[in-house]
Amino acid sequence: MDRHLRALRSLTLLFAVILCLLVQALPAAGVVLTVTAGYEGYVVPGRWVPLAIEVSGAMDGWVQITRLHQGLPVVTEEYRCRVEDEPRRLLIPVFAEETGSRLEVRLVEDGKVLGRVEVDLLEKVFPGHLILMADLPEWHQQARRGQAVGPVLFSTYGQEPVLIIPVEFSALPGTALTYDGVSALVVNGDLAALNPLQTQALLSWLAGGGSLLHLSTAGEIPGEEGWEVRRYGRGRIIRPRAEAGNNGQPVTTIDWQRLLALEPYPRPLRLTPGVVFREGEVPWFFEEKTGNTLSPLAVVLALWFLGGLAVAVLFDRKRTAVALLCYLAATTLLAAPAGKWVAGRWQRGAVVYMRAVLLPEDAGVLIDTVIEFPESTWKTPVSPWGVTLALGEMAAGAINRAGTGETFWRHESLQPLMVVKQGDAKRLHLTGVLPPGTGPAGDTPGRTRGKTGPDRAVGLEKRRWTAGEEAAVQTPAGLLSREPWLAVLQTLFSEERWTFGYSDFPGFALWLENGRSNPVLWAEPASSPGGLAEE
Amino acid sequence: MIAVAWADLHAWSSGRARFSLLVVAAGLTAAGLFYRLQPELWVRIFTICLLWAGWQAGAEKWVRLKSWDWIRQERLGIARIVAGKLLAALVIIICHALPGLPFLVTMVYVWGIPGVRLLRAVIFILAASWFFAALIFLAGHLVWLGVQETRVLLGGGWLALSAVIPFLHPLNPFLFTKKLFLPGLLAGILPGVLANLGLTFFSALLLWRYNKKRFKAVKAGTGDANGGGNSEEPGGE
Repeated sequence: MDRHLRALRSLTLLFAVILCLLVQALPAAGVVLTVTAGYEGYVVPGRWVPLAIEVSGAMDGWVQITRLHQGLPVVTEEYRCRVEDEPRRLLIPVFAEETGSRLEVRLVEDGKVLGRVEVDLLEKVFPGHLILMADLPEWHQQARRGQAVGPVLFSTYGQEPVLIIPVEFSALPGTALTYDGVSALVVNGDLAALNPLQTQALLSWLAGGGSLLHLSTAGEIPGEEGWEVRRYGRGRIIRPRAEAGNNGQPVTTIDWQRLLALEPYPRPLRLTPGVVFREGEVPWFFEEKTGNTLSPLAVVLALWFLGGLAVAVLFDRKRTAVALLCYLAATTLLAAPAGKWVAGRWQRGAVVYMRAVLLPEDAGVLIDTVIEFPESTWKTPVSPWGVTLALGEMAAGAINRAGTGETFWRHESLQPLMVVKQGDAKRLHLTGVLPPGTGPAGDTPGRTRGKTGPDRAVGLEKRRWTAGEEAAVQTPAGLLSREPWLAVLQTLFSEERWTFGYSDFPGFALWLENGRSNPVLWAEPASSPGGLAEE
Repeated sequence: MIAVAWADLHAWSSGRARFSLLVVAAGLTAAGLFYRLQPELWVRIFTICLLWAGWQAGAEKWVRLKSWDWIRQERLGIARIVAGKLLAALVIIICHALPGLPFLVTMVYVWGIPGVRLLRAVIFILAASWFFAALIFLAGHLVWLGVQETRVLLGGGWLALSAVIPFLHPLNPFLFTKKLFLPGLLAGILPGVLANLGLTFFSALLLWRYNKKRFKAVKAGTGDANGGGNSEEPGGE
């Protein structure tokens, strides 16, 4: 009897163990991944577009977005994703290259892939003016009755096609990057209902040149003359005049286009990341590349040897061995901080190029960073083992991590400051929109007073700055002729007066190997009486 | 065995330790400055330093009581003497690897090379240097040619042979470590280390058998001296 009981117990235990193992091995049940690129699938090439990722079913892991080149992964971006009862919707900005972009979106939990979707961003291309319409007014809904479901395409205004896409009020983007390809926004509702992130994204986009048609009174159909146009930075906020009333004529698309200042494509009027950071090449920016020497390493090594020599000479014969061993132990322990210090200064030979455009109205900063490994030479060696990066606690990544060719960027937050534009085993290109208040060193008082330009332009200095170091003022003579990006900005936005500078951005630091922060070459479209580099 | 090893180590530490360690440290520093601590280049000098230490230990340069002195005393078996000598050689090689530690740690941070690769490479170089020491030790006892010539022939020959024959590449301290110090698939060191250890053991075995026969012959009066083995000390015969 006992024997049977023991056998039964053993079998039960065995089944329990097998069951546990099976439950562990099974993927999270019912996890569904849905991915939509652009607005209703439409994407403006060469611009940032939203990638809507919907996850339903309980999971706790990561959403991975991998950029593919010829079918092979070149760079991966990761976002933390925890879903419990309610389905989760992420709206992540991705860059649609004009030559085509294929992405693979994966849901990963504990190293297991729960779902995988491949997206071709240029499946539905729209190279024109894209208008978002949040909460359609009643009269427009009536006008659209009888038409096919989906976006309405008007191409009657000059040669410029216009696409109107209805969106839910709550689905408006929370990051300014996703407004990159949007020319205008028509909102029928109370803007106060937007959450702070949506509001900030909207303001950044407006300050850069977006047009907002705000139909605040439900059911009201304003007349053509009954509009109040207000400037916000480079943008326009159009509202119906309260006294104008309803003249019985719905506003036509042509009227909207005129009101929203939709100029013929491709004239760029808006300061958006897709326009101002168009060229992807890293320019030969002053001494940046030739600065990648390893002189600090030479100093460290020389000091170590001389120290050892001193120990060997100073101690008598009996104590030499002990002294040398102690010295060796001390230098080995010190090697870690010394190595970190040298790595931070040298950045493993990576060239870091940071540029920014300060938006008017202190509505944020468009920022773009290229970290690139040039060809290794004797004078400027480059590590084949890659480099690690960190953007505070917000995000971290690596280029060619430990020589594996893997390049990635991981977000700890769902409100990313900088997202991946392009990348491969030798470079990482990040773009973002920094929140208001961020600006060049020494500019904070002016910024808090609400001025549109810095009190003084911070000049260019032909040396590396360490973090926290005060930026010195120096006339950047010939800056425009030497820096192609600034020249392009001047050409694209010739009506603007630009102020340029090269300095640290307090509160913003992209660290490579826990090293120094890299200064930012910035431009501000505002006239500044004290500006040293006004053109 | 312990007595033999201890005697060798004591002689080295009291006599030449300071000089040899400083030479190695100077070599590693110079290489670090010249190559900017580039892993795959700096490691060549590191390997040369350890092979040099292995050569010196194998050639019994830094010892007062050479192997033949011990053998003549007849208080210890030849196997123990050989084992003691090789143990001392290993410790001396490890001591010469110690000045490289700060460089290796710095290299991890400066160049970003994974620490596990460095560890593997160091273990492999130590094993290869130990075999090199055993080979030189063996050469010192062979009677075919002059001692120095035999050492050059055996030591240099082994390095050249393992560099030329592809099958032996995983045993060559220069070629194999370069593979470990460059990005790519992480090569396993176990076969190389085991082969080097096996060859060390085989060299020791050969040395023991050879000396045993020869010592017996000398004792019986049928042998010819030490045949040039340890020619720096031929007076024993």
